[in-house]
Order: sequence, then C-alpha cells, then structure tokens
Amino acid sequence: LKTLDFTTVSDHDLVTHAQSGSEAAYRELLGRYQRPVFSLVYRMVRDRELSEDLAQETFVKVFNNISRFDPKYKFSSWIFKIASNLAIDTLRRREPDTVSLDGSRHARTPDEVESTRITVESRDANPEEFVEARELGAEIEEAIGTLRVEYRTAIVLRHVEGRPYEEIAEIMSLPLGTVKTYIHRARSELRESLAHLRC
Amino acid sequence: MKQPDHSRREFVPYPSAHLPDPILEMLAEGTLPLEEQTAAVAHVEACHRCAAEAEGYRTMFEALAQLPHFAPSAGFSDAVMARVVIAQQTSPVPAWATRWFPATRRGWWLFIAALMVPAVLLGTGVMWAFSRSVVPPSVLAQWSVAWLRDATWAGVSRVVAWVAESGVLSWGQDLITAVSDVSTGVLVTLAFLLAIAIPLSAWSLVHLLRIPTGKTAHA
Repeated sequence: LKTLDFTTVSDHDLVTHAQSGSEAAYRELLGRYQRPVFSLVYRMVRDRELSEDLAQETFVKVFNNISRFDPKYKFSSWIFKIASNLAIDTLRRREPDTVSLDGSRHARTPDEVESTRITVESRDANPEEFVEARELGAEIEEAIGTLRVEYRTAIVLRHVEGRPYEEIAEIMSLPLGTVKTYIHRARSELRESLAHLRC
Repeated sequence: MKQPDHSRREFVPYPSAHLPDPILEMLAEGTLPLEEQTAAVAHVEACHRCAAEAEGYRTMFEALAQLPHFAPSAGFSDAVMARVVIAQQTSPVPAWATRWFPATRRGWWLFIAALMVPAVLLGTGVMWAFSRSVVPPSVLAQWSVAWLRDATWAGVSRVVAWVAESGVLSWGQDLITAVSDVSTGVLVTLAFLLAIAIPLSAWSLVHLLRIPTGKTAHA
C-alpha cells in the first residue's frame, strides 16, 4: 500500500484507504478537492477568509466522518453537499459581500487588500488570453454574484464544476426538475446581466 | 374509434415559430435528445434569430467553463490535516492478513473468479453424477449427513479426550460425563450454534467499537 500511486486511484478506493488509516489517501483527496470546494464556497459567500474557514470546516467534517461514508453516494457529491450546506447556513446568518478578485471591499489598508486578494489558477497557457479571460471572468463573477444563492450554487456546479444535473440534485437535496428550473432561471438572469458582452 | 396515445410524448418540430429557450439551452449544451436535436439544428440553420440565441448560450457556457478555480492559502492543507483525526486500522482482519487480500476492485474480481472455478467444477461434477444416476440424490444426502455427524462427533470426542487427559481441568470430569450422555444430535446442534454465535458476537463487538459517536454527516 505504501508504494501505491494514489494519483491513479479512484475517489472511492481512496476513501477505503483513508478509512484504513492512510494519511496519504487523505492528502490525495484534499489535493483533488481543495480548489473545487474552496471555489464553490467562495463563489457562494464572496469572502476569502470566510471561504477558507468554511472549506476547512468542510474537509474536517468529511475526514473525521470518513468511516461513515456511504459508498452508494459519490464522494464528490458528499463533499460538495457538505460545503454548500455550510455556506448556505452561513449566508442565512450574514449579509454577503460583493465579489472582487482584487481583495475584500472591507479591506482598509493595502496589506488587508493584499491578504484578501484571490489567487486564481489559470486554465490557459497564453498570458494574453489569461488577461482577457480574467477581465471577462470578472464580469461573469459579478453577474454570478447577483444571483440568488440557490441559482448561484446550481449554475456553478453545472457550468464551472461540470457536474451532471442528477448529481446537482443530490448535492442540493432537491428534485431534478427544480434543479433544472434553477439552472434555466440562472442562465436567463446571467444572459440579461451580460447582455452588454453579447453573451 | 382509435384513442390517441398520451403515454408517449409527441415530438413537434419547429416549422415556423422560434425555438423556446429551454430547447436553445439544451442545443447549446449538447443535451438535446437526438430526434429533437436534428429538428432543432434544421430550424437553427434556417432561422438567424435562433442561431444567434443558441450561439449566445454557447458562448456563455464556454465562458463559465473557463472560470478559474480559486486557490486557498498555502497553509490550507496542513491546517486541515492538523484538525483531522486519522482513522486507525479498524478492520477485524489483522494487518498481516490483509496482504493476502486483493488491494483493488479488479483484484477482488479475480479473487472471486478464482474461488468460483472449483465451485463450478464441483457443481458440474455433482450435476453430472445425478444425470448419470451413478449416485441417487437420497444416497448422497444420507452419506453427507452421516459423514458430517461422524466428523463432528470425532472432533468433539477428540477435544473432550484431550481436555480430560490434560489433567488441567480435572474439575470438568463431571461435565464430560454429562456431555457423553447427551445424544449426538444435541451435540451437533450445540456445535453448530456456537460456530455461528462466536464469530457473530466478535463481529458485533468490533463493529460497535469502530463507530464514533459523532453526528452523521450524510444527513
């Protein structure tokens, strides 16, 4: 087991190894999901520090209950479900911040701006394309930020994380028809918000 | 008079009106069923407005898919792992024994297949014997019961004799005498019940000890 290359192991088998006490399996799961989970939470709550706390809480909750993982679920569904539930519970208790990739609007000093700035992982190799994509991305991020949190969660899971409708229904504990309605409404609102970009 | 069939959704192509938004979305997303997709594509090729709408959705979906993943801070992993209680080896199978078990799902399938081969061969042999009337089923059943009874009795007798000869449990002589008076059927039943009860209780104990007392996270 020590020589097993965990990068090629399925999520399900990684959970089995983690249940047997393999720290390497925990770390591999963490490596696979820390960005998707953090991104989902950040797009929901719009606050870097809070997102980091919630993402951390998600992993701690998942890992400390790994022995109870029900293999009939997908691991991704389980972790996204816990992350979105934590984010929604938090949002119900506080007013959401506005989106900014360049630091929190509540930052009062340059240090605070820097510490709350979001680091993005480019999916493009070309720096010019990355800058253009970043500008377009900022517009889309703002538009996503104006959506109701349920629409926001559904649209991010569908189009950013690429999850199938059935899994989104499982993650959000909603009927499939409701999820499709949410996504349809979210798309309509996004198109309206992004009309000036001719989307 | 023939009644219309409402069980099947009737597909109506889009001869004149514009495509509704859900159809345009599914077309742009590539999730439209083939039959509808063919009709929708034909419509879009002839309708500039619908073509522009579908292209708009496609552009938006591509832009959403290009959104970057945000990275947590550098110390995120360590902060998480510092709060995680690594599950200890809780398998009822000892660690030295696990190396003899397959580590992957594929390995397990091969393992099961390897076990199935002798079982299938044995079953085939039995079926063949029955089909050839070499051994009538009733004779085979009687022989099996007799063999099981003799083997059980021999085993029990050997254990009892060993305990009696050991001298360590001299206080058990009365018990052995009492057991000797018990019929074979009762002894076989007792042995059978114990063979089930002991592993069951051991499994229950292990299972109870491994479950933490926290809240279920699936809820």
